[in-house]
Amino acid sequence: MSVRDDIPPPPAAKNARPSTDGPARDLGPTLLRATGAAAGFGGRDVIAGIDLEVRAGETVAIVGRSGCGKTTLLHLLAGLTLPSAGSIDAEPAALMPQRDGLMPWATARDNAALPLRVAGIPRREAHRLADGQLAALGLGHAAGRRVAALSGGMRQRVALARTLLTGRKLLLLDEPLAAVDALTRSELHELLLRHLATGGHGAVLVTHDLDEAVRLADRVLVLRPTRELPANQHVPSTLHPGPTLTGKVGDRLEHRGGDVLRLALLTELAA
Amino acid sequence: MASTHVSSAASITGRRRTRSVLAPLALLLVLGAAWEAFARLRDIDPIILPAPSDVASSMWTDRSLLLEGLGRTTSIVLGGILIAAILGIALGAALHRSPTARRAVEPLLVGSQAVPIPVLAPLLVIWLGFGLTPQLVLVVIVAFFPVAVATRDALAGLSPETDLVLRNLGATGSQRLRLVELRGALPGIVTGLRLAVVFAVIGAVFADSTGSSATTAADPTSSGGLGRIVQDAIPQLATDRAFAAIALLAALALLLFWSLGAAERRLDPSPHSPLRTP
Repeated sequence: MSVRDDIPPPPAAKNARPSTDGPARDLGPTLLRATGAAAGFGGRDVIAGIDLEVRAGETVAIVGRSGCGKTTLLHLLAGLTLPSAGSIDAEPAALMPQRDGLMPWATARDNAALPLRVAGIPRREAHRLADGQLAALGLGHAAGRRVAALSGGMRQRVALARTLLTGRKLLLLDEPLAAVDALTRSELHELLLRHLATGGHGAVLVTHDLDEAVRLADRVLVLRPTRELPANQHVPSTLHPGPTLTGKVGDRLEHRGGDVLRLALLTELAA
Repeated sequence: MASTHVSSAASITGRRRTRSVLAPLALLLVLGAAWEAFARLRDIDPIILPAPSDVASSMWTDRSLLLEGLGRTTSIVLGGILIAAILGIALGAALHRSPTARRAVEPLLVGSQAVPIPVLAPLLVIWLGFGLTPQLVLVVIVAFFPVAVATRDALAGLSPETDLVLRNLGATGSQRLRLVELRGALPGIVTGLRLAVVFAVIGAVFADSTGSSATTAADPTSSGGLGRIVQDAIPQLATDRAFAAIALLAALALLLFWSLGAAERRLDPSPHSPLRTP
């Protein structure tokens, strides 16, 4: 374990697509390529040496402990933070922030339509498109309701509708299901599986939930400091390959296979 | 069963509403009765302290004068509030958009509020002449400050997550204001307006009491507002009329304050602050 820590694996190995038993999805064009990228605050890197490639048709999960720089990484990929080293070459990305960032005073429709309105699409047309997207996410009945009156799960659907309506291919999701109950979460998992890597989308999903990562993603990467943390010294986090995912997405967590995967992930996280 | 439940909930809200009207009314009655008793039992000269009944009878006998004054004061207050709202919201938005403008303008803005209105009122007449203009200007000056401050604070309260979304979407400054921020800030702005109406009523009284005896002379059809009536009644020893006018001023301020409160509740039915998502 420690040997691999000292010598980071070549990017090719990190981004190699795992073999799957299920029908392999065809991967589309590259949506994002990060090469040796670093970012942080106040001249101190929180993350460094980030190598990552995301192609259309795949979902990449990034797991890590809280405070390891997951959100910083997403902001870097979204172009909200400039890299202090290395480079990011990416399509415009749609960011779904950790808490939904919805306007509580506005209707689900108005919230979902925000990207369209910013793009200059007239109100009526934007609302029509928003209604269609909300209906596709099972929220057709709530389009006219204020977000403040919606449940956590419904709010996440509205936020997802808003994210998809940006029309951008690269989706960046920051702990999208951290605030919803377990039952709602498994409902939303189905929804995310249907929308994340389809329609030419490619997604990066940041989460601390191992099950979620294994269930939703084609690849799992682990974000953690490269070396053992020396006392009083800050070591930036970087991406490490997670366990290889095999089997159909929905079956991965069943029986022993799921336990093995969780164990592998936990080992990697604790490394 | 369900309908029983709903109707009982409705009756509870109804009872609560009744109580919210009855409680202040009861207090007013008790205070009024105590005042009446004090004035009658001590046999106090109504010129010194008119009893509520004297004030009420003056309100009836001088009703045409008082109504005209109320109309004039109301229009000055409403007109002033309207202008103050437009200026205050615009200034608040500008201060929110530009930190440099904020640093430059804020000391001036706060400092200007320390200028005493009774000093300012006659000066405004000298600068702007008699008539409605100096009165409106005075009301605007006292009323626009709370609106500007409330607007700026409400705009600054936008949730950081929404800010992130807007940055990610590449929204321009004016898009942010138009599509998100102003609507989100509206409950806060209305809170500022609620303070502003009370200030505006005080401003209208001062505006009235300074320039308008000359105004009345210049324009004989105009009787002056409620402030003028108070000012004229005191030397005429018609203290009851002064009190009647003051009661109307209080009622006006209260009515405007309450209606804006109702507007505020309609805008933001959630118990949480509208901008900070929990």
